[in-house]
Amino acid sequence: MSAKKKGGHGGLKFLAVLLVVGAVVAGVHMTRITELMQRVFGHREDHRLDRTALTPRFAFASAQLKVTVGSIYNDHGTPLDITSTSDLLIDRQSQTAKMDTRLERTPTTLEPGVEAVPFDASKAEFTEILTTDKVYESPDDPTMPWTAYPTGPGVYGTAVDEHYVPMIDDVMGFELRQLATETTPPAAASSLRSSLVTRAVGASTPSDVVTSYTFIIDLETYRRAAPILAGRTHLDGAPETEVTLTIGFDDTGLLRFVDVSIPSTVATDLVNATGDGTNASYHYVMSVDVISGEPLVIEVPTDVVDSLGS
Amino acid sequence: MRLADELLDDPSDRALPAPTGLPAPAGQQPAVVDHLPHNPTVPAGPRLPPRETRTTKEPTGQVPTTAAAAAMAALFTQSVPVTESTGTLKAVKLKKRRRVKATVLTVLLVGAAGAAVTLRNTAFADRITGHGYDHNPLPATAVEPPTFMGAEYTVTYQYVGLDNGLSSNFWDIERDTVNYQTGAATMTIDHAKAAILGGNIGTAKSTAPTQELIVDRTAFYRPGPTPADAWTRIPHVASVPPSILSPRRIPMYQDVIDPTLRSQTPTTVVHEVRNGADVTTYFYKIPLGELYASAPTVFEMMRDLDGTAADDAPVTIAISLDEHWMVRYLDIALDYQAVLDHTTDADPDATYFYRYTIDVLSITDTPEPFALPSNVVDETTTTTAPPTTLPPETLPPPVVAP
Repeated sequence: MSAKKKGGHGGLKFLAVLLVVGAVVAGVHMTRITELMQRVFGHREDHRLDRTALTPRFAFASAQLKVTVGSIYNDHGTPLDITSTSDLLIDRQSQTAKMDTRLERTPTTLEPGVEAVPFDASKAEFTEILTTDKVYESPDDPTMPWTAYPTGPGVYGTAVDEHYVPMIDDVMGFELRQLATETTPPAAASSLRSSLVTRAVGASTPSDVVTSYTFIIDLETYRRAAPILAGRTHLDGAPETEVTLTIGFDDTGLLRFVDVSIPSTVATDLVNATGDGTNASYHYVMSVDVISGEPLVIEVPTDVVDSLGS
Repeated sequence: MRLADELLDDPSDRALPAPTGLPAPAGQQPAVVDHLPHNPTVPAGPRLPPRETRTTKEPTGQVPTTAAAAAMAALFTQSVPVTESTGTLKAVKLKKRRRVKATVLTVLLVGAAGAAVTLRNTAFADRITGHGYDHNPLPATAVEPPTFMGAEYTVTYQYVGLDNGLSSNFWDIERDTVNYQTGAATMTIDHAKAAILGGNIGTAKSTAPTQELIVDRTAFYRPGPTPADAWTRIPHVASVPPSILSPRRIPMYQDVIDPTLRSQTPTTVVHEVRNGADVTTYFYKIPLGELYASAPTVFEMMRDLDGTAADDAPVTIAISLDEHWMVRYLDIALDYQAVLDHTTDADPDATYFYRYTIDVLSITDTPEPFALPSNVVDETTTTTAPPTTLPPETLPPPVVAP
């Protein structure tokens, strides 16, 4: 009796399985043209949107940078090779920055026996305090008041811009990512930064440069593939001018190092053509030495005279 | 229950206790086996065969042939009636099956949940959920530009500001026809303005006659006052040719859409025909304060917008891409009323850039040849940009974005 019952169940079960399988087949057949089934069958792979892997923006309170710019200055028809070095302190909370700048003749261009004379000795060193609406410039005579220049309406590209230290996704678009790159190991990248100031004690910093890339591209490609850097470095020349670009990022994706250069002769030709008082950059180095979660106190001068011009 | 537990255990592992002689439950009269005492004191109980006790069968009427078998039968018949023992066993089996089913179901559910969590970011899971699929997908790579020998396009810049105390819109319109084969181009430049009344931009009126220039790799050529006069040749600064002679002035997909903008969701996507080319136009609307974080490359192109309007002022972006991922049309516009509201009080004399448009009218592999002017005099000084002068005249309506 028991075996009989079991046999009856088996038949029902078999029938049920057949029905289910049939229903599944019919269901799949009827829904095969739906979007879901087309995707499942892999017929929508040409519509697949590859995920964009973005690095989350790293929030920091303050930063310490060094920006060095090599440029050719036309001084009454004489091209001078000038290097400006700026030590920057940035406080993002107050949107204030302090920039100590030194100008000096680039030593490598000095001829033997020629004294290194800054092109403008009276302004060879100066300090600027940047806010969102004014720039305060230190006086030549320390007893005199600072001069305040109005700025604006925007702050983009200046040290008080919250994106002054960009993220990797800001710098590296699709084209730059695809260009042939030479990834230098962190040790090599660090050696580029060997002359930089020591990290502040107690500062909470992410690790140093962990990924760096070197590109040798032409100027037109540089402007097109790295527009944010190109907009900041102001390198000019023929489209085919060779550009050497090295960029380094830390493990949070922040840009920590930039070294971009063109032959100085290109800049010399440019200032010779444009005339007295003009200058053209040929080498730009930015190094973000300290990234900190602690805000900085940057005092805005109070003994100030306003300038009408900017 | 006790019996069931015992039956489920391996009986070979334990001794079967002897009957205790306790009275049987009411209605259950134990059968008596004659040759066995009712309450024997057995120091070590008999060992049951390992398997036989697992199944309880109804008595068949056969007489046990050995003493042990007889004792076993007596014990069973004395403790539990045969029919009840069978029903309990079925219930136990049913319960066991249910328990097994529940366990299997739980394992399956936990496994499915674990698999779902583990595989949720896989390509196959995306096929089911639909994540990552789009009818208008944008590539995650740079695209090689197509080769073409000639192009015609317009580039328009628009500004707002006050003109004699009246809010006004200003246009700078450049129309280029370029022959990349010969490295020469003709360009026309128009300037126009219109009052903004009731929030609407009026009809554009030219503020200068159309200026025509010819460009090659060495210089600009400006026509003389009359057709009989010589053209003026203005060499490029430091022999650097202008970007107009590069086909890459017409941007490719990757020149506008960076990884960050690609990850934004367009407000609208439209398939349309623009200047005879099939294009897909992607529209975005992003507040000015979020433009850099949402589209850094676009922000860099439009860096002069920074600070000219409140952070919540909308920036609309329209990007038309053809089958080669070439940008056939690009329009980036900040809400001009927001610009007027934000900036006019600050500097009533200034004009503020708010809109950039590039509209590709045609590209070709066989551009029309044109001759450089032969009657030319050199200008004594070089200039970086072509001059723009002459009295105003009426312009045709400017290129207006949809």
